[in-house]
Amino acid sequence: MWVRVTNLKFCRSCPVAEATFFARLEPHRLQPNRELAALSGGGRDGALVSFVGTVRGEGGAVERLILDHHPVLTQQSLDEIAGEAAARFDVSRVYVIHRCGTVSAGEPIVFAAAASAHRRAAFEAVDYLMDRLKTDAIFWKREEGAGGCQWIDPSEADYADRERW
Amino acid sequence: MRVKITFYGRLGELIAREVDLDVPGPITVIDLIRRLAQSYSNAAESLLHPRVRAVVRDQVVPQDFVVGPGDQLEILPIVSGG
Repeated sequence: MWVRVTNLKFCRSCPVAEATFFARLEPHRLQPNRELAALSGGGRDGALVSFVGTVRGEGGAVERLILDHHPVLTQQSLDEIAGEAAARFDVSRVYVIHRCGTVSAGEPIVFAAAASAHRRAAFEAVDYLMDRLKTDAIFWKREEGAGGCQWIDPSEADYADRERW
Repeated sequence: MRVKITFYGRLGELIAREVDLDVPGPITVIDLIRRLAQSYSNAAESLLHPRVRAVVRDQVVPQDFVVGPGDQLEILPIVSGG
């Protein structure tokens, strides 16, 4: 379900703009092309920016990621991040789909997108989405493969990226 | 008093997804976590990490929150992010 919010940043043409956001926890394989196609068209936006994150195989050391999640709070964290992006930037739509469960190396793990009248806001919104998701989305990730099994914590670089906003 | 505790991520692996813990009576979250750290020394570092959060009825609660009869506690280790 799309949720409507009011942009905190005013656009030039109107004093208050509204945006919608949508966030979904996805237990099955992500299909970015299908997600992008669903967002395209309509002719009302001049820009549609999307990002697809995939599981790095690290040269064969990682065969899969296991994403543990909370049955309520994980979806809430995705909603909060997407809603904040929709309110913060001059965009019309914000869209986040995030995998949970087992994701094999090379498979998409996250799809983040934003649409806007002009490109800059959409680029910034997606950049913001990913920086927030990398540290604040409520997931616990475990790498499994020939390199062994280990739980992953955000890196110092991830926290530094989060602080940019 | 018996408290049901659910663990996620590495804590779920190190301890179990769910445990029932017997305590003498109402107990603060931090005291309960310290008790768990003593019982599960292999998970002590993760339990006592400053970014660990406690959840009751899908709400994050502070460390001085008192867990009472019937409460179910969830312990979230440091999140990995997406």
